[in-house]
Amino acid sequence: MNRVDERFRCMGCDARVRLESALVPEPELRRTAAAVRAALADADRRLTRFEPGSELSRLNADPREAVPASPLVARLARAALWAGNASGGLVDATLAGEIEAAGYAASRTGQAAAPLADALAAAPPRALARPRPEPGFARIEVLADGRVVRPPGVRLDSGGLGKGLAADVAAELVPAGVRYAISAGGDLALGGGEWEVAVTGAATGAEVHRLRVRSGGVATSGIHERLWRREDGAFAHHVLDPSTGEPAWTGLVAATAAAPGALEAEVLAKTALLSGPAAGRRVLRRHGGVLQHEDGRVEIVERAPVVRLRVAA
Amino acid sequence: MPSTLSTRRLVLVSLALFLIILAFLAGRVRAGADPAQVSAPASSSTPAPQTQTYDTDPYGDGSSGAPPGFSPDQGGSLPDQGGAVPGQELDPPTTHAS
Repeated sequence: MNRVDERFRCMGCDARVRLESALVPEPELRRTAAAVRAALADADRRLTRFEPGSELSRLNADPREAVPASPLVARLARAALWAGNASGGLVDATLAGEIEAAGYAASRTGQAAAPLADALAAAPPRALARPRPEPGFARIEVLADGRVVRPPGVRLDSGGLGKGLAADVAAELVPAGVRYAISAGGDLALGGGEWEVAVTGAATGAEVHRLRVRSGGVATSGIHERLWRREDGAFAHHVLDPSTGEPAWTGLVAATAAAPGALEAEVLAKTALLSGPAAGRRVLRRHGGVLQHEDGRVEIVERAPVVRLRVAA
Repeated sequence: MPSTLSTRRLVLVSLALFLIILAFLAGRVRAGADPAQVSAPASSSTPAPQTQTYDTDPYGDGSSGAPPGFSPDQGGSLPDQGGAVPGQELDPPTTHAS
C-alpha cells in the first residue's frame, strides 16, 4: 500500500492530507498531495477576511452591486445562500460586521482560548439562536457569468463555510483509486473507502468518540477554540445568534456532523450547535453525529432509519 | 343481494387498508424519514426567512432541481453508530472546532 500523510498549517488552523492507494504509485500520490495543498492555500488566500487584499475582502469592499468573482468565490457566495436557506436562517455568512463587533476583527491564530468553564459560568441565560427577519444572505445571487450580486454593504464572512468548501474543492483533485482524508481546520472530506474519524472533546481536547464514515464529510462546530474576553470583561466566541448578532449560548459547546460533503457537514454542525440540544439532535439525525453538552456529556446521535418503498417494475 | 354485500365489504376493506397505509406514511414523514422532505432543523417556532430563488446544491450550479435543505440520506456518508471503534486506526483523521 502506498501512503502519503502530510500535516501543515492553512487558514489559521491545522490541516492534513492523507492519501492511500494500492494502485497509484507513491510519486503520483505526492503530486496529488501537493495539488491538494495548493488548492487549500489558494482558498486561504482568496477567502480570508483578515487580509484587505484578499478576493473576499475586495468583494466586500466593492461598491458595485454585481462584482466579477473567481469560480471559488462565486462558489462561496452560492454556498452562503444555500447554507442560509438550508439551516432556516441560522447559518448566516453575512454577519461580518457583527463578528468584528464581537471582538473578532483580526486573526486569532496563536492566541490561547479563554477557559471554557469560566466562560460558561459567566455567560448569559441560555437561549436558542434565531434567524434574522431579513437576512443578508437572502439577497445574494450568482449570475451565469460568475458575477456575485449583493447589495453593497452586505459582507460575506467565509468562516467555517470556507473551510468546508476548501476541503470539498481539494477532494475533487484526488484521482480514482485513492483513499483520501483531507482536513481543513477539522472540516474533513473523505472518500475512497471507509474511515474512522476521531471526535475531539471540547473540554479536554482528548478523543471522545469515533465515527465510521464511508465517504463524504465530517465537521465540528464549537465555541471553545475561538473564545475570548472582551474589553468589558464579558466572554465572547465566534458562533453568533443571527437574531442578536451576539455569541450564542445554547447549552451545547460543540456539535459534530456527518454529511455527503465537508461543506454540508459544516452547515449541519453549526445548525445543530445554534439550535440547542433538542433541535440539534433532530438536525444530526439526518446523517449522524455527536453533541457535546455544557455539562461535559457527549451524546452520540444515530441517524434516523429511512424507510424506502420500492415498487417492482 | 350477496353480490352487493361482498362489493360493499370489498370497498370497506380497501378503504381501511388505504387509511392504514396512509397513516403509516404520514407517520414516517412526520418522523423526518421521507428522503424528499425538507429539513426543519431549528425550533419549529423559528420561521424560515423569505428568500429569492436559490441554489439547492451547495457544490454545483443549481441545476439539480432538488428541494431546498440538506441532502437526503443516501447511505454513502454514514457514521457507524456502534460507538468507539477499538484501535483500528492509530492516528485517524480528527474533527474539531476551529
